[in-house]
This record gives sequence, structure tokens and C-alpha cells, in this order.
Amino acid sequence: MKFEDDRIERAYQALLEQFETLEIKKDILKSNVFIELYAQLKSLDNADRPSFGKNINALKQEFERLVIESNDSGEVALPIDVTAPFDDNLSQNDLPQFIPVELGSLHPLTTEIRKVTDIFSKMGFQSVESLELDDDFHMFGSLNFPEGHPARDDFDTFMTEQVSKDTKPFIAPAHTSSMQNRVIRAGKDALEKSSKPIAAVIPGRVFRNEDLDARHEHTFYQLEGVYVGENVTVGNLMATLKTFLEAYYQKDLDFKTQPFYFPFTEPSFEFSMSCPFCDKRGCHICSYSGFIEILGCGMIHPEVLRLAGVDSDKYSGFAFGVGIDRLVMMKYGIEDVRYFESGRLNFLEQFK
Amino acid sequence: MKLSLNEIKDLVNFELPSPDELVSTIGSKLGQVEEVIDLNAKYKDVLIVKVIKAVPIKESNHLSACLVDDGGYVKQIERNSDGYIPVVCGAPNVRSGMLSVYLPPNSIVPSTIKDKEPFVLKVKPILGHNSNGMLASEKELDLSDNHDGILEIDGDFKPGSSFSEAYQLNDVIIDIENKMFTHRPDCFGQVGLAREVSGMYNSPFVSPDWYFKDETVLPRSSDADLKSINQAKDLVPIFNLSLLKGIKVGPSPLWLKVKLARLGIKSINNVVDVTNYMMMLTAQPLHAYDYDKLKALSKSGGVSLIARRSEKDEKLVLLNGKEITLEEDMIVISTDDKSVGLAGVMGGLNSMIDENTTSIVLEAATFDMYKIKRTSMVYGLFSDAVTRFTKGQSPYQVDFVLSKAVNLISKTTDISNSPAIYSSNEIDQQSANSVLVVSANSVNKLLGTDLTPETMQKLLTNVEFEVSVRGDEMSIKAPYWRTDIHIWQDVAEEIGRIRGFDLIEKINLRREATPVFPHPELNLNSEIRKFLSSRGASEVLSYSFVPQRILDSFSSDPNHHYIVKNALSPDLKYYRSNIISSLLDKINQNIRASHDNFAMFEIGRVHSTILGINDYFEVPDFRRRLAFVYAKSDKNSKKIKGSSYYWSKKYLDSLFDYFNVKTRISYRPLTSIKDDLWADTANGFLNNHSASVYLDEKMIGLIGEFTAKTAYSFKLPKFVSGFEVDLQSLLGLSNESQYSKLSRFPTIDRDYCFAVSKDKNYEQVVKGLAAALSEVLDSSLASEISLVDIFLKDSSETKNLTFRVVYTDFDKTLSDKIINEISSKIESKMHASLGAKLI
Repeated sequence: MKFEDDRIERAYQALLEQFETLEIKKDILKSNVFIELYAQLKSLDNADRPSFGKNINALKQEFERLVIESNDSGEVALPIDVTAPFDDNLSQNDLPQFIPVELGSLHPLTTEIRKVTDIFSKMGFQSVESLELDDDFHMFGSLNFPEGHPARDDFDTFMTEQVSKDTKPFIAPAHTSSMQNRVIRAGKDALEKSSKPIAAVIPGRVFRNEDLDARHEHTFYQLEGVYVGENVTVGNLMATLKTFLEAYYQKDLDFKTQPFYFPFTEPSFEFSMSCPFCDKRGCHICSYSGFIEILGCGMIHPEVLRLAGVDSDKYSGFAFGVGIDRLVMMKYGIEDVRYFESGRLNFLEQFK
Repeated sequence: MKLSLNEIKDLVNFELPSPDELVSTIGSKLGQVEEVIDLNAKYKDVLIVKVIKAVPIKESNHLSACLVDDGGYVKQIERNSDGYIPVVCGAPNVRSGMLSVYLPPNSIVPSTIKDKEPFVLKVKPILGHNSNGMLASEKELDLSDNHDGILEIDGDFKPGSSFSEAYQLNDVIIDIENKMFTHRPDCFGQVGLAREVSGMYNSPFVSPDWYFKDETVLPRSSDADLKSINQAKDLVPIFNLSLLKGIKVGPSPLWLKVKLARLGIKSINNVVDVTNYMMMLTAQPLHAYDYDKLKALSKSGGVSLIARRSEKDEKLVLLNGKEITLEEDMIVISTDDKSVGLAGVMGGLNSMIDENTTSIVLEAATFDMYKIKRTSMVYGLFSDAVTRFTKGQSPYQVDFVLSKAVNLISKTTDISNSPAIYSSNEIDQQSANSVLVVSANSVNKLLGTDLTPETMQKLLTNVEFEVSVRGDEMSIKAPYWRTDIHIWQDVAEEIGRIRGFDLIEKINLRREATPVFPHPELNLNSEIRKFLSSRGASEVLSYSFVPQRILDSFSSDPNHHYIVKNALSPDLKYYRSNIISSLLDKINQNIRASHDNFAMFEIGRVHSTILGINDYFEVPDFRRRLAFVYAKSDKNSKKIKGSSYYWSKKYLDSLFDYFNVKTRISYRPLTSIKDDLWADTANGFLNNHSASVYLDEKMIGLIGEFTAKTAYSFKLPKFVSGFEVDLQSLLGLSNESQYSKLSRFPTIDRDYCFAVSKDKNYEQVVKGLAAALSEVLDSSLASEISLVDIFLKDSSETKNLTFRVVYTDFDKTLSDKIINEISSKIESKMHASLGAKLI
């Protein structure tokens, strides 16, 4: 490497010399040579300054590269005994310490998932994990979304370059409903042979290809519920949701339904509860309406049952989905959904 | 979708309830109401007035000093001795005797009502004349873009009448979320919404005659003036045209302008307004072509309009002036020579109607909704027509709507010919709704209701289903516009919804008293979360996707990653193949936020192409992982003795202890990692200060410090270490406590300091000691070893490890003599096995 500008070239050579002798190579970036160059920069006239500045940056980049290349050779002290509990020349008294207990914290989303699955577990719903990389059939096809159906566009799905056996991209699931087919399939035998209903909740990470802002995340958590048995009714669905929500908020609530459209349920609803934070007096959480829309749900579409191998003449069932992030945001009054995956301890340490 | 109360009140057969009540019922029986717009707020102050006098102002070339008669309606305003209000007006069409509309002072100009600062009128002196408010143009009234003059009212109204009452702008608009109507094309029109509203109030709805009676349809024609040719019947179920000659294209009558304005559509001209109005009524988009332009674009003498598949690279200039290059296999409308429109999406510029148009071709058709969707996405064209064509309207409504449109146009202009319909094909009978036989019992069983078949029949016939009942069995035919009724569950939805789902009794499921077993993986996660958080670590969740930068900092091969091909942000390009790099990425920001000493962990999944496809799920395989990092800020780590490695190791050792596997764990140098995925992650770990973690002979993780490159790219402080372990390997391990009986005799401890060669590691020495103890001790004697210190002199070839051994005998009290004997046996064994010298 050679610099046209004499002043820079001289500095380069000087720095190379220093670099050779430095024990901690990274310190070259703080060298007095750089400090002098920057000082010089200030005193230059306007015509000369930009190109000189550029050259300093190039020089700095060169040394950043050298620092990375030198990698471990310069910086690493002697090898350590990785099998030991502490370093040489230390004693039992110098054992590393755990961080003081009061600083530990649990992520509010995983805590809430645990609370929700605990309630459903008591109600007889088995927990099942969802996938983070799924296929087109489970995201759409198995849920009665025909190929190219406009309803697919409501989900801005992430797709991979890599493709599955059927040459379609893999998909980052945009809802936990993508597990319905698998859950029903898995419970089919027990349902048919011993009339054991399929009852599962599926918490999971889901993804939407959206721009981020305080109310939109591309990564968030949902919990899906699936129940299939004989003579399962809309009344059962609404009672199950009522029971869950009243247990979750530990108070009696009022409920409303709103018709909705999902290709994988018929009929489909949005389920609203009276605002548990203001008891219908009106607050900012319920937008002063007294009610909060909390769940999407419906009776599982016969085609979805059929695709999972279940006889839709004999069995019926319901499914529902709830957004965990929203539950948590409402509960604590969290103003920005992006905090959840920010790794900011100022945020995380508030949740014990 | 906007619903105009004034529009639907003329369509239903009952008195509409109050808007509030209607909004709540629509919410529970149709779909979410997004907004309620009170149009009256916008138009309430607008008055119809008579211009009494309009005298040009000398000093101006266009202003007139006017006197208007408001019938004395406006209070506290300047009036002349006759009681008329002085207003200055700049419109060329202002003249005495005309009826126009007037905005008094302090009223808001309607077109500005949504502006940040709505324009509020004031009394203003202009060239020596006071202007009290203004006479308004269509543009100022938000009816059209016409600003050529003030609005002329053609009708018999008393001065001072309310404009909004006279033209029914005293409307309430209820905007319902479109998502609810993904499968309901009929609900994208006022007729369909009126029918739904009737149904929900249990009132029988009858569609207007023109919407379903065959006798209202124009006759078919096969004359030579026009020909409809459908060359893509699989994509174009119906393609019908009409020809209107000798017409005049001009402003619409006010009643039509107002109907459109209520639904937020600006008036363009009479032909376009009629097509838009019909679309708002029925959700059937129409398109008008200039007949003479089509003729000029044709090779042969007559005009043939053809619906066909596009050819590759065909060019078309659209109404918005943009030229597009077509892909193969989209639907275009063309003459026998030139394409003139992108079917269902947007017309062509070359055949657009204008003020000189005298003959038009009206097109009413339906198109394959998937094709329209795709075309709209490819060119980024989203119009009201696309919104409707992608819901899949019935082809059966085409003739009705086309005929009604011709009828409406005839009310706005003379037509010199007798319009007819040109059609190339009949509708495929398969698209007709067939009769569904539905059991009332099944419906009740699904809903959890107890309705009689007759009740169900009534609910359905209210919205124009044909229903006959025989016992439990209902034969049901949905009307032609309902393209969403295919199976009996669709009928059950209709019944439950129109009646009101909220009326259904909530009945809890009954179940057997069997316990639900915890999910092993989720349970393990919980245990670990509890364990680490109670030792001061904070749980983190971070994205499953990582940017190139993070791969680079770990020197991870991009080919090992699943790649997201359509991510909006480049930060989301790769599925992560380890979690520890995501955690390292969170350290610097927390140091900057003044956290000096912290540990973070995350439990999550990693994906990699290395893992191949999961046999059970048939999707990319994954691994469950726990990652942990420990960091101290530079200012906080100055006084810390020893490597940061041991701090993370303490956490990991302690976790293994919790799962009772401490003795099965070993830490081995990073060399020769056989597992490709671990090898990829190991690139970020610093040799000599890191280890592979083994459970028995299986590698289950990595622990250590990080390379200078990694540290540099994450801007890490000096004191950082961490680990990542596979959780699948910990599954099934028990964290049950293990009890061993207590001895009644006192314990004795003894420290041993062994000098061993520098190249021996702790594990070798401690295992040697344990082996020696187990050989030497009787079965009644138990021992427990712990390390006291390790001493290494710089120049020395040996190092000293001091252990404390606690002896417990279960049968007798131990004497020094016994221990001394044991100690000397151990000394010789240690010497034999490790060359260790007892000091």
C-alpha cells in the first residue's frame, strides 16, 4: 500500500512501525499519529481539506483491516485451562460471582405465554410448539386458502430462496394457524378410536414482512387454540374463550362477537371483551369504547378437517388465535412494540 | 366499504333506526365499523339563495357586487334596506335571478373541512364593497373539480332553504372494514349493504326490479356496428357490451353529483359518473370507450372489442398516462388491431372518452379474480374496480347493471340509437348457485342453538334466499349475487350471523378428569429461565433473522443459512444459525446505556441448511438452543483477576449441576469439531480461551471468549464471554434432588497440594485424584473434592493445584492416622498416574 500524499505516506510508515511493536494491536487506532493528522486537518485551507480528510480515513481503514487481520496473535495472552473452575494464580476466594440476584429478569412475552398456557393446561389443552420455518401447504393450502387467493395478500409473508420438494419457497409463518393441520392429524387416532377430543394450544413466533414502527413488528408472538370433537358448537367456543379470559384477568367480563372472514373457519368471529382495565368506564387502552377486540376465532372449516384426515360430518371443532405482544402491551402500558426484541436491559430488567 | 344511510333508506322497507343503533348492530352482525362520518357537519351551513342583483365592479375585471336573498335565514349579518346580503362574487356566471348556494360568514368551506386549518369565512372588504361570506363553486362544495363558476341550482327552492336537506347531503356514512368482505362481492355495493341491514332487522328485502328482473334487461343485438368477442372464456366468464350513439358528454345533473359526493367520489362527467354510481350500487365496475376512437384503432370497418390473453411485450398506454409492457397471459381488451385496456384494472388512454365523444361503448364483464389480483400487483395499480373484481362477482349481474347504466345515462343526455347488448357467450351454467339441502339439526348442532327450520327460513328469505322446508330438511338456493355460499356451514354462518351470534348461549366443554402432561421442551425452557434469571441474568428475545454483518463477524458461511428473498429490510436477510451472535449484538448498546455488569440469555431456535430437512415435519430442521453472555464494561473490569471465560463457565457448571450431570460434562479444546454447525459457530470463539462442551461423548455446545474480529465488529468491551448449548441434549435430564444418607460420625478434611507438569489440565488432575481416592477408600468412606487454588510461577515448568478433600466415614470415627495412611497412598498413586508431587 502506498499513499500519493507525502504527509499521509510518512504517517503510514510511522504507524506501521508502531504497529509492529504494539502489544494490543487495536491501540494503533488511538495512536498519536492519527491525532496529529486530525489536528493538521483543521488548519488546512478549504481546497485541500476534503481530499486530506479522505486520505486520513483511508489510512484509518487500512489499520482497522490490519487490526482485524492480526486477530488473535497480538491480543491473546497465554492459553488458559478451560477445564478449570478459575484461572491460574487464583484461589477459591476469587471464583467468579453470579450477578446479584435482584438484577435477574424474565422476558415479559415468555412469562405471559407461560401464564396463558398454564390456564389452558388446566382447561385440558395440551401445549405444542410451532415452527419458525414452514411450508406453503401449512401456511395456506391446509387452511383452505386456494393458490393465488387474494386473502393470502393480507399476510405479508417472508419467503426463502431455498425451496421445498414441491419447488415452493419455505415460509416464515405469519400465523400460528399453520400448526392446525399437524395438531389435528396428530390427535386424529385418539379422536377416532377413543373419542378423545383434540385440545391444544400452540404458542409461537410469527412473522410479517412489514416496516417497523411503534405498533408494527415483523416478529411477534401468537397463541393458537384448536379443539376438535363431537358436537362442538359456537356456544362451546365462546364459553371456552370467556372462561380463559376471565381466568386470565381474574374478573368477570362481558363479551361481544363481531363477524369476520377467515378462509379456515366458518363461521368466523372477532371476539371482544369488556375492558378489564377500566370496567367499561372508558380508558385509553380500549379507546374509550369499553370493549377490546382480543381474539380471532371460528368453527374449523370442514375443508381444513378433511385435509387433516378428519371426517367433518362426524366431528366439528373450533380454533382461535390471540396476539401475546398485545396482551403484554395492554397489561403494562408498553408504548412501543419494538422494545420486545431490542435486548435493552432498561426495558427487560423491569420484568421479574 | 362506505354505506350511505340516505342511499339505503330508499332501498329498504322499514324505518332505519338511529345511526348509533345501526353502527352497533352492523358491528355485531356484519363487520367492524371503522368510521362514522356525519356529512351534515360539512354541509350544514350551506344555503340555497337567490341572486337579486349582480353589478360588475368597475375597478376589477371579473368581480361583481351582488345582493343575495337568504329569506332572512342568517342572523346578525349586514343587510341592505330590502333585507338582502351584500356579497362580492368573482364567478363569470353570476347573474340576477339565479339560484345558487351561499356560505355565510363563520361557516367552513366544505372542501377544506379535512384540511389542517379549515377555511373559515369572514366578512371582508373588497375594493370598497363588503363581502359577507361567498357564493360557492362545485369545487368549493367538494362535489367536483369544477371551479369555472358558482353552482347553479336548477329547481324550485325557497331562498334560505338548506342545501344539504334539499339534496340529501344531510347523510351519515358508515365505513365498514373491507376485510370482512373478502368473500362478499355483493357487500361492496349499496344494494348489498341495504339487504344485509334489512336482514339484521328481520325485515324482508326485495332488490330493485332492475337488479334481478329479466324484463328490465336490454335486448340482444347482432348488428354490424359492434361485436363482442371473448377469446379467453376460462378467464372471462362474461364480456358484454352496449353501444350508445349521438350522446353528449358533459356535466352530470346535480342529483347524480350529490349521490357520488356522499360516498366520497368526485364528479367527472355524466358517463363516468353513471359507471361509478352503478359500481357503488352493485359492486359491478363498468368501463366506457369512445366508439369513434375504437373505430380509428381498428383495421376493418366495424368495431370488434376483444377480450383476450396478452402477448409478451405488448405495450399499452393506460388512462393514467403510463406505458406498461405486458407479460404473457394477462387479460387485455383490444380491437382487431390495437389493445385498448387492461381488463378489470384500467382502461387505455387511446380510447378514453372526452368532451368531444358522441358515441360510447359500455363494457360490463367479469374476470378471473386471481388474474386481476396478479395484474394489479405486477403494475402496482390499485383501483376501486380492482378491489371489486378481486372478490369474484357473479357474472349474472352483468346484464342487469349494464341495462340500468344505459337507462341512467339516458336521463343525462339524448341517445340517438336504441341501445342493445352485444354478447359473445352465455354464462357457463356451472357458475349458477345450486340447491343445497341443509339439515336444520346440523345447523343447530354447529351453532349451539335450538332454532326451528321455519325461523331459519325466515332469516334467509329476508335476504332473498329461496328456502323450502320439509321436516328437518331445508332446500336452499342462494340468490345469484351470493357467490360465497357453497356448503351447509356457509348457510349456518348466515343464519347465526343475521340472527346475532351474541344470542348464542355460552356452554363450557365437558371433559374427562385426566391431567394434561407438560410439554417437555416448553417445560425445560421454563426451568432454565427460572434458573438463570434467579442468578441475575436477564432473558432476551431477539430476531430469528440476522443481517450479513452478523454472519461476517462470526465468519459464518452464507451458504449455511436460509435466505429470506423478499425481506423489506436487508437486516432480515438470513435465518440465524446460532443465537450467541444475536446476544453479542446487544452488548454494546447496553454498555452505552450505563450497564456495567450484566448477563443475558436467550432460548430459541437456529436453522441452517447444514441440518437439512426434518423428517417428521418435512420442513427445514432446527435446533433448540440456549445462549448466554456475560459482560462487564471496561471501567468495571479493570480490577477483575483472571479470564472472563470462567464467569460464563460458572453459570454453565451450575446449570449442569442443577440437572445432575456435572460429572458427565467435560470441556475440551476447540480443535477438530466434527459437527459442521458447531464448527461454523466456533469461528467466532477465541482459540485457547474457549472450549467445546461435551455431555459424555457428545458435543453439546461451545463456551468461551471471542476473537478480536468478532469483538471488534460488535464493539465489545474487553471482558465478555458466553456459551451456547443444545437444549435437545438436556431434555429428559432430571432436576430432582438426590439424597444420600447422612453419617453419624464427624468429617475430616485435608488439603493436598500437587505440583504437576504445566501441560496437565485441571480435569486430568482432578480425575486422577478422584480415581486414586476411589481405589484407596473403603466402601464405608466417602470423599468430596474441591479446588482451593492453582499456583503457577512464570518461570516454572510445573504448577501447583491445591485440593481440599472432605472425608466422611459411615461406620466409625476417623483418626488422623487413617487419613495419613490414605494420604500417602494417594500421593504414590498420583505420582504414578500424573507424575504429581505432593508438596
